[in-house]
Amino acid sequence: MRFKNILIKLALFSTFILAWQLALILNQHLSEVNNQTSLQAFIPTPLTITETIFNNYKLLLSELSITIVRAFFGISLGFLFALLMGVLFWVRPSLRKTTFPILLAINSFPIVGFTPLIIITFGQGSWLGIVFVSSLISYFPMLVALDQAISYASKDFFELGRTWGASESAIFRKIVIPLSTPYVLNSLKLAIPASIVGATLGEWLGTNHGIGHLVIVSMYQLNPGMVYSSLLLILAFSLSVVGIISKKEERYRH
Amino acid sequence: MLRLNNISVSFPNGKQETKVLDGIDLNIKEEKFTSIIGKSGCGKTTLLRVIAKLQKPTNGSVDIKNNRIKIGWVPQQVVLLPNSTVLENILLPIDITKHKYKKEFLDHLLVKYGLDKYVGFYPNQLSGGQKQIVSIIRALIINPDLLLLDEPFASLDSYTREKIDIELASKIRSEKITTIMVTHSIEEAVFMSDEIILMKPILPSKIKNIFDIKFSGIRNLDLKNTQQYSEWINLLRNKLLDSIEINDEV
Repeated sequence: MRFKNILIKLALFSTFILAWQLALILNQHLSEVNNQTSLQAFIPTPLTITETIFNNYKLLLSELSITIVRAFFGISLGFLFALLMGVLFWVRPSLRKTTFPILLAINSFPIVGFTPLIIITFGQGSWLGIVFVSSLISYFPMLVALDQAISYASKDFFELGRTWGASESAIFRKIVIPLSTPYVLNSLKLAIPASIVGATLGEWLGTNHGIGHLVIVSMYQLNPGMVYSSLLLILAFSLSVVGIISKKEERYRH
Repeated sequence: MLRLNNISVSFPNGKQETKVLDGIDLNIKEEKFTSIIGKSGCGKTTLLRVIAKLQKPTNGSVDIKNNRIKIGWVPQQVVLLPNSTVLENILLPIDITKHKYKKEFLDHLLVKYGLDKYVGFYPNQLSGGQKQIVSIIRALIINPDLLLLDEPFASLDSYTREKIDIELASKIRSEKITTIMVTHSIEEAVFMSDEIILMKPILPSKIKNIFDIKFSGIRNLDLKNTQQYSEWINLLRNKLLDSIEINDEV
């Protein structure tokens, strides 16, 4: 059954790639006949993308690794902030009532439009600016997850811990954290791609390195093959991480 | 062991306050099993929560002989970590408090309550009754000085309930654990208790009667066939019904 599913997925994927390739080849022939610009000027064929990746893999991997490190710092900062707020909400539930709507508002804010200002504030080429944008985009799903876990844990577990004479930090470590883990893992599936998007976004404007920078430069050079290759690598990385997390998460599905 | 002095508890009810308990004076005897019975909503659980120090009384005080006593708390709703196994859940208080426990004692409890084959299971793989048993073993594993049970057997079928009543009563007596249990079952209260507290049904509730339950024989299944046992059941049932009927007439 599993093998059959894989075969179906492979068939669908191959059909999609083949259709993409054939459509662009057909378009090129028609464009030549009609003396028009071919779509391949903007959309590369799967073959072109493969070639680009093969010929530039060193550059792509080096730029990707820079983006991943920035996204890693971004998500770490976002996680620390979410954890800090989660602990504060747990210790002072009244703080949640006043602060959560503000954080929700920040999350609803169009950060994409605000990114140039953030980058300028931190200084052109500054890592911090990019990391900050990445964390700003990724913290919210983790905060919601921690908040959910804490409200689930709050009353009954807290009371149970109190009857055992446990300190608040012990309750947090031994009860709240294990309860939060599946929620946090689930939120990471949203937060990790978001942190990469944040880092890429920051790189568009702020640095001379990273996948975001490579995408922008390739666009100016009218090199769609490189743009798609870069984005494809980002996608592959995000999907791999989400896949690993989903596997980890299975342990918590009972 | 434990003394409640003039305990009153009120809860906010909109702009007003509802007084649930009023002027409760109670002396809980050491190493004895005390049950609290009464009509639903008469404040039995609130009283137990005051004793567990989970509910601050509006007035009055709770004097405990030793403030560092270990409390085993079995709440009405089963509270288990969903992503931890049965064994991890049972050992959670040990993990948190670093108290010592005896492995043989745990194994004995697991076998006795039929959970020895379920230690690696997760809570959602257990029946409601099994979850409650995990909750009870978790309370016993810390070797508590005071065991507080809030309708612990409500989710069990009558057969398992009777079996656990007998085993728990014998365990508590042999370990000499001071126990307070809130229950709706008069039979259970009579079978297990040395003392039964009957609460008044009207709010604010007070203690209506305290009964000393004494039996000449051992507390086993045979006890349930004795005249003495039936007399206690009838007496308490009548007292409970009387208090409810008087309240309804009012």
